[in-house]
Amino acid sequence: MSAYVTKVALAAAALALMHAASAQPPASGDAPSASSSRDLHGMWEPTRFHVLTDAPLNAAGEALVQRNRAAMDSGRIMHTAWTSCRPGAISSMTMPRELIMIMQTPREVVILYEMPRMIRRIELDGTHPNDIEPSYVGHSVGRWEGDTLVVESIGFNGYGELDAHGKPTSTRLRTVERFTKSADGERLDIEITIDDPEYYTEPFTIHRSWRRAEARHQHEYDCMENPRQEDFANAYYVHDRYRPTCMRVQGEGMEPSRMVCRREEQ
Amino acid sequence: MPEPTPDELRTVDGKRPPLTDEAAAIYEERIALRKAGDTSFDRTTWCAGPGMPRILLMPYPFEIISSQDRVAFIHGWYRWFRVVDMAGDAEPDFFYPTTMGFSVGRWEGDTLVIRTVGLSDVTTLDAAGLPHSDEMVLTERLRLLPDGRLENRLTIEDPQFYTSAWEARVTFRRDPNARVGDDVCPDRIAMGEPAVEEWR
Repeated sequence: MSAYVTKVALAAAALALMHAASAQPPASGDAPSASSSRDLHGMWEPTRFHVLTDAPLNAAGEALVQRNRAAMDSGRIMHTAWTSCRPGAISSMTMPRELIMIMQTPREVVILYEMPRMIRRIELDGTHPNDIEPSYVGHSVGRWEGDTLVVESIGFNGYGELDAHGKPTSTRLRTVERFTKSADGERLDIEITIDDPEYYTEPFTIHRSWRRAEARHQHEYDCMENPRQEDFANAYYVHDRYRPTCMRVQGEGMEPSRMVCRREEQ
Repeated sequence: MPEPTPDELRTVDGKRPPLTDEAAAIYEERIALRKAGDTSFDRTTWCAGPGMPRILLMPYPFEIISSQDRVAFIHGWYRWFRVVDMAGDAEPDFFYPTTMGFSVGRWEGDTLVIRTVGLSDVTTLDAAGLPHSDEMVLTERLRLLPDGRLENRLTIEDPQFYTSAWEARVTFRRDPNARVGDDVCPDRIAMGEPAVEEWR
């Protein structure tokens, strides 16, 4: 079900091109790329974490959120795409956290998220293909408008929630993100317009901001489906797809616990 | 895309790596388990990370992206990536080990040399279950071969499990038209597919 999985295709390793691109070390007098307003590369971190995102839900969206609330009120643990190790790109827009690496080449901007782990690729001056296979991360194209990078994304698969209340998204989701670096180069201000007529009465805009992070390396979030057997009784899955395939079964006595993975037919 | 590698990783001399007695016992047990259909020693079974170097041995493509003072490897298996700090020769600093470790790199002529430490001991070096400790030091030497393939010579230093440093070699074929996609392993295993495909 994943988009673009190229089981038969062989992938590129552009080592020679890369060597040519990085052969020159930066001149000692240069400020690190902060001097260029169109250079977004580097390590960033959100300035604050947003548990909830205000959004103009329509009746269908409100009904889903109420269903989620009822489950939580009855003491169940709600699982969204994020907590099922398959976060959608929409949640990287509404609730980013931890360290985020932006890499930038003439052809694309690549955003590498530490937690949850995700790779977003934004093709500069590209166009959406006609035959996008829907995915969690969608298909993103970007262009510069002055010093603002405008990123348009479509092709989402509908499995992605906006926030901790599980506000839904559908395959009709379209987003526009506008990234603008501050004059001193220390901040990225991001304006995100979310448009999904399936669940929202109109497009709405939220603001996020990231600041430069000092860290040299990102950590990693090795998300895995690892629920304990007894957790299942208490779990509520916003979509059946989020139901884990594997669970940890306690060993008897001194036996270690083990992972048991069920197959689809069971 | 890696060229096919055996489930039991061999050194450049075609031999089994120089395991200590303890490590060899662990390896033999895992080989037997796997033959009996039990891969519970292999966390990739439930989509946990394969780590370095194993992700380079799996039949999934990757792309290399170079940008300013960093080189990133973007993998086609479950969104894994690693970023190599090219800004200097200092040892990476890390707080706790991770599956992909912490990497610094430099150019030596046409060869990209990457040094990685802080590799969590929960992964195996190959599909058959070669163990390693979190003290392992992994050195890679990547270069393009005259025929256009990419070669990675990996050196493993891990005295806890190996009696001496040893080297393995993996090669990769280039396909300029392919791009790495968003692979979501949990969806595949939910469909009854294996988390990691076998080499055909």
